[in-house]
Formats: sequence, C-alpha cells, structure tokens
Amino acid sequence: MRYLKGLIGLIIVMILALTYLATLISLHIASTTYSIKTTSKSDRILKAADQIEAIKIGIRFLLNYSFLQGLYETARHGIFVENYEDIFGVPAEFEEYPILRLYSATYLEDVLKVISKIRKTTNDVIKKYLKELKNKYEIKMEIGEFILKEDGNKHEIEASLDIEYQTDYFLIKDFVKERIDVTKHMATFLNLFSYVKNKFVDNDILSSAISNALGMIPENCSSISVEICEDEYYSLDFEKASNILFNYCPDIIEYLNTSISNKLFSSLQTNFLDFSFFITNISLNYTYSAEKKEEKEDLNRECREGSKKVLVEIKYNYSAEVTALFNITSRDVYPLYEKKEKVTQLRPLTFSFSVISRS
Amino acid sequence: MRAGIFAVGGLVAIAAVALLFSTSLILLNQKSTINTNLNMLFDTNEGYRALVTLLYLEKTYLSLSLSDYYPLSEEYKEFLAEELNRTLYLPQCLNVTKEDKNLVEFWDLCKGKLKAAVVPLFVPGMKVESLYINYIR
Repeated sequence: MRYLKGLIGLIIVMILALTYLATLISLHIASTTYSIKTTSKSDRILKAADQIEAIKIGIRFLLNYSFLQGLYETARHGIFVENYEDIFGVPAEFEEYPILRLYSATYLEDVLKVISKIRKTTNDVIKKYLKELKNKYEIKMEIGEFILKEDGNKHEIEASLDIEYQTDYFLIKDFVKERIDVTKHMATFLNLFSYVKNKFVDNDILSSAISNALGMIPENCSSISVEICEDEYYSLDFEKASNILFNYCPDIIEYLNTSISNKLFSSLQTNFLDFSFFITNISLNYTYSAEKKEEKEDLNRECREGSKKVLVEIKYNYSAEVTALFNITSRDVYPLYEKKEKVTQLRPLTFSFSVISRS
Repeated sequence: MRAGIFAVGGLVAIAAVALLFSTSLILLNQKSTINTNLNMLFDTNEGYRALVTLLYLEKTYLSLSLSDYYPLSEEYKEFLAEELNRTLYLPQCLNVTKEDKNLVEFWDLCKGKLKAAVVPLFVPGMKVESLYINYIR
C-alpha cells in the first residue's frame, strides 16, 4: 500500500513535469514561429521603406528624363498647327516629314502652344514611368500637380507625387514635391524653334535658294542657238523646244539641285546646331521665245524645197518648284526613346519637316 | 518508509534538474532565435541600405542610370567598390548589376548566389530597371 502511494506520487510528479515541459516546448515553438513571422514582416517593411527611399531619390532623374522625352516628342511632331490633319488629311505625327511650308502658307504652331504641348507630353511620359513602376514593383505613384514655369530666362518644372506601397499587412504612404531646373534643355529647344521659325516661316530660304539658282543658270541653258529649217521654226512648239533644251542642256536639273543645295547649306550653317536636308523633287517649268537670227547656207542638212536654212535663238524663262526635307538637330545628344524604332539611344533633339517652295 | 521517501525525493530532484536543464536549453535557444532574427533583419537590409546610401550621391544615380549610354570608367567602378566596402564592412565578394548587366564586379565568388538587395532605378526611355547588389560577408 505504501509502495502504491509512492508510485502514484511519482507518476503525478512525472505527469506534472511532462506537462510543464510540453507547455514550455509549445510556448517555445509558438514564440519562435511568431518571432520568425514578425521578423519576416519587419524585414519586408524595412525593404519597402528602402525601396521607397530609392524612388524618392530618383524622382529628380525621372522628371529630367521625362522632360527631355517630352521635348523630343514635341520637336518631332508637336510643332505643327493643331488643325494640321484638317488641312492635309493626315495627322502630323503620322508623317516622317510633316509640311512646314507650302508656298506662302506656313504651319508652325505658336510658341506658347508649343510650350503647352511640352508640358502635356512631359506629364504623359511621367505617367508612363509610374505605370512601369507599378507593373514592376507594385508601388503605386500618382502625379498631383505638375507645372512648367518660366521665370525670366529660367525654366523649372515642379511636380508633386503621392507614393503608396500597400501589402496585405502594411501600408506606407509618402508625398514628395520636387522641383528641377530645366533651363538648359528648354533653351536648346527654343533656340532650335526660333531658328526654324526664322529660316522657314519668317523667311523662305528654299525659295531664295531657288531664285538664286535660276538666276545663275548658265548662258547655254537660258539661250540656245539652233540651226534649223525655216518650216521647223514656224512649227516650233513647247515639246520641240523642250527637246532642244534637254539636248543642249541635259544637266539642268542636276545643276539646279547642286546650286540650290549649296545655297541652302550656306543659309543654314551656324555654330549652335546641325542640319541635314534632301531635295526630293525639282519641278522645272519654263516658257520659251524663239527668234530667227539669220539664214544659213552651210547648214549640214536638207530642208524641204522652199524652206530656208535658218539660225534661231531660243530663250528660256525658268521657274521651279522644289520639295525638300529638313532635319534641324541640336549638337547635344540625350538618351531618348523613339516610338517607331522602339529603341532608346543617344539622339539629338530633332525638328524634321518638309518645305515646298517655288520661284 | 524512509527509503521510500528518499527514493521519491531523489526522483523529484532528478526531474527538477532535468526540467531546469531543458528550460535553460529552451531559453538559450530562444535567445539564439532572437539573435538570428535580428541578424537576419540586419543582414538582409544591409544591402538595401548600402544601395540607398549609394544612390544619394547624385553623380552615382546618374552614372548607374545612364550606364547603358555612358559606360562606367574603371576609376568610377573603384570608387563605387570602395564606398560599398565601407558600407558593407569589407565583404568577401561584391557585384552590382542593373537588370542582368554587371556594372561592378570585383570578385566572382558571388556567382550563382542569390541577389541580396534590389531597388528600382529610373532610366531613360520610360523604363524602371532593377539595381541589384550581391555580396557575401
């Protein structure tokens, strides 16, 4: 009986000890699990905070890249009048070289409207960055206020952005207001714009180049003396006069091309930008007048009976219509994305357009 | 009777010592878990802090961001490595990559290891790329 009591006491002690141990182990496991979970959550929060910090540091660069892209896209397609499509039936952005001048009509947008387009395009580019950020990092950013402002010669952009990083157990919110100086980039753009306006809108350097080239057409192309039979003289028409012209002066189009190119080259040359141009069409028009100069007996051909051999001077009066494509580019290059190529690479700011002029 | 009491008392004493021992072991293990967690927190975020610290240098952000167009010079890579060495307390190996392009690689021991930290980097062309750091200490 005494042994039985001792055994029961021993069992009770063992049960109590085991219960204590089991409780301790359970608590330990629970607390370790909790600790690991907490650590992993804290870890994620800290990483999120660091990623947000990296984003905040990058906002200045985001604004700068967006502004440059905004300038590039505006330069490519945004300098033309708003109703371009109504006039030409095609939106300017669909054309590689939209028409800037057609004879005396010009289609360059007002500078204030162009600046407004830069602002809008930049804003759109920023939104594309924010969309990319959300796709890649699930960090939501929204642009609030966005201002492109001018203070004398100084241009700045100011943007405020809301940042939100949300998961199932935490939400980090932040707000950033950033301002960057874009004076240099804006000055480059405006210099190019003024240059284009000056050369192709306020003046028409292509028309001047055509006039210059026509005025310098060699004598053998503007006045041609031919020995023909008198009946041919009386039946001389435009087609025959043209045949005579291209027989005696076969390189006239090439001459005009070279002459116009040389003049354009000297008119466009400056030390703050680069340019290239291509003359895609020269349409030469002319009228003629023929005058019988003298009779020639020694003409080496047979004329009909009664038709004398005569020397005829044909004078040509020229006019021309020329289509040329221009690229006016900045000297500095920037990493810019081109939609058509779908590639980002170092490119200058470029104004591309065509001009059709006549003289 | 006396022998019985001694036997029970002895067993209780042994059980008490065993309990004390196991409790101590558990508490020690708990301490080790806490330390491990703290180290984990510190270590895994160290790379993030190093990257963020680095990006605070305006020239660094610009250089890393534009490295596709203006490759980093050897002198500049050395400067970055020195900065990271200081921040990360002399790691055994160190790689900085942007997406899958190695920007700074001084030792190849890190190859095949998981990247330790990643932060977003704004780059031209409306793109957000990932800047990674990989190191072993």
